Amino acid sequence: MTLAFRPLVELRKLLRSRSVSAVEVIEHCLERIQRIDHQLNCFSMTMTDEALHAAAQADDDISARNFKLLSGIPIAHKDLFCMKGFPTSCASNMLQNFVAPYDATIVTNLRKHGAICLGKTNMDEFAMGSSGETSTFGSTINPWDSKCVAGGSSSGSAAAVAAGLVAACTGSDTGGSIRQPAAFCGITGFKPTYGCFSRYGMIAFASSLDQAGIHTHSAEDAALMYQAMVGHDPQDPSSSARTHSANQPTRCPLTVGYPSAFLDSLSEPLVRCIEEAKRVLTAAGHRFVEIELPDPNLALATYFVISRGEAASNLARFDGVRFGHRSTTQTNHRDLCTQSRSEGFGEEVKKRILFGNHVLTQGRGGTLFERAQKVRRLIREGYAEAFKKVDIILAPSAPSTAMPLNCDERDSYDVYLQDRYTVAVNLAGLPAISIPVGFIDKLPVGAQLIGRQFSDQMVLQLASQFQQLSDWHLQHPDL
Amino acid sequence: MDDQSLDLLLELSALRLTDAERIRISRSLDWLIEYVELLYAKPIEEVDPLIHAVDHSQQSRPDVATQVSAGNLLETQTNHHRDGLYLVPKVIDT
Repeated sequence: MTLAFRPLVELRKLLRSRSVSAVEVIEHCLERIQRIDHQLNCFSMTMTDEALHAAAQADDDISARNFKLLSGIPIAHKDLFCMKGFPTSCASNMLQNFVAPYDATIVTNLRKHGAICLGKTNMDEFAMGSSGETSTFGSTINPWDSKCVAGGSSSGSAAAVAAGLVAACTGSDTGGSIRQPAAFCGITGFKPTYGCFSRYGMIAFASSLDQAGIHTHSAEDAALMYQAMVGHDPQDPSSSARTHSANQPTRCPLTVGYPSAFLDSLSEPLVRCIEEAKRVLTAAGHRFVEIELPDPNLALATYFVISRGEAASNLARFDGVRFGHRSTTQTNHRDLCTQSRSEGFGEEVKKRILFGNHVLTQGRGGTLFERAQKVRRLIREGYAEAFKKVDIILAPSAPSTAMPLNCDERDSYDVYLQDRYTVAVNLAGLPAISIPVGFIDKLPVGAQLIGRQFSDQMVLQLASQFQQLSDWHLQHPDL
Repeated sequence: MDDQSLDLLLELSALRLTDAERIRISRSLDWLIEYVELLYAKPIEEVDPLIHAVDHSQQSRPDVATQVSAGNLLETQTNHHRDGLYLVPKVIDT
């Protein structure tokens, strides 16, 4: 029986009916990781013994008819989620020797529901990047084309699911870090409403924007993961106390907003893919309405300022004293801090800290950071205004397909522009999902469905309906 | 960005750069500074800053300790500690 690329829901049925054992599933995934991952670099570490032990336990539970939501399902965590007793590096030299002293709530919740973690996935350093190339472990390779990036920052998570190494991965999304790599790798990437998933134990980049999320083969799989991960966490002060469900019925037909202006700067083949997604949803009975949304370039400028300002503040904790890299060349306390940080952080992280401190201290008539917070309110209001007319929005996930590896400095500015269509969702705290909607030159294309705050179930259900009517999410790379 | 401004930011950020990093990062900062000029195109005088996207009040929880202190666990992250205190090089010259 071929287990690679099986959707989570199918694996779940096979495990439940005991057509396959959890040990068989986990052994299959570990063998596949062993065989394929040296080409892709999805994993920063694997947990063979722990996974096999958990699988044996899952088989005992299933035999005793004690079946949990995700019993025996192979997953991996982005390497910014703390797992007690295991390295959590954020793909940075700064945290190369850091062993987490506690579990992130997301890790606890998924374990409680029976999911089995096979390892930690590669990522851009401290989640700062849109190509997966700023990792201290080296770039993650796109499973569809070995000359292309997997996207970022959740590069390893997206590529691991796309390559059929695990059924699902956790990721994080500060400005598109789940949705853009999902689009590049041809999988489903879901970012819930800010506050739905606990941030406790998730190493911070920009606290008011960071949100944990999910990579899976389908929206139906994402809904199951959502069910296991969602919930109020008193240990995270920004965690929402609202009750959540992925299974609330959604009325049909929906009014779908279509921001045509977003498509103006896209290539013709990319526009055709988005238009085809629109056609599928229209054929399903949904009504499309033209809408105007806040300028994506303004959203990007706002994001640059807020994310980097918060990053400069969050990363000030790395001082070479309590944890993380400690330089051996220091002569005094100040030097210890400066030298440790200079040796521990990569260039992209240094760049963001420097720009962060610039926006926190400079500006005309107040700091740039304060100005960006005001523009952020206007952006949120712009989306709220659009949601008075529509239930959900269809938009591109990224302005291109996966970029070639090793871009030069000039192209690195284009990498920043990759987040143009995703950052507003984080600024406004909205739920959004990227789903595969086509291919250009054998590379996948993604489109986003964006909902109003706390309409996560509507977003998941419409994505699921789209996937029942299309087969882009069923395409897999030849590995 | 001129050298003096960059030096000030480096001091504030507790960072040092190699010569090659300095050239690349300077260029990138210039690009970003120019890009975020867009923020000055919007009139915002009457707008309140938005700190968090989702409006919810601070959650309160029972004033009961539920976790053991992470202090001892965190100390295992470095060899540079003694008697519950972190060891650092001399802070003040006498």
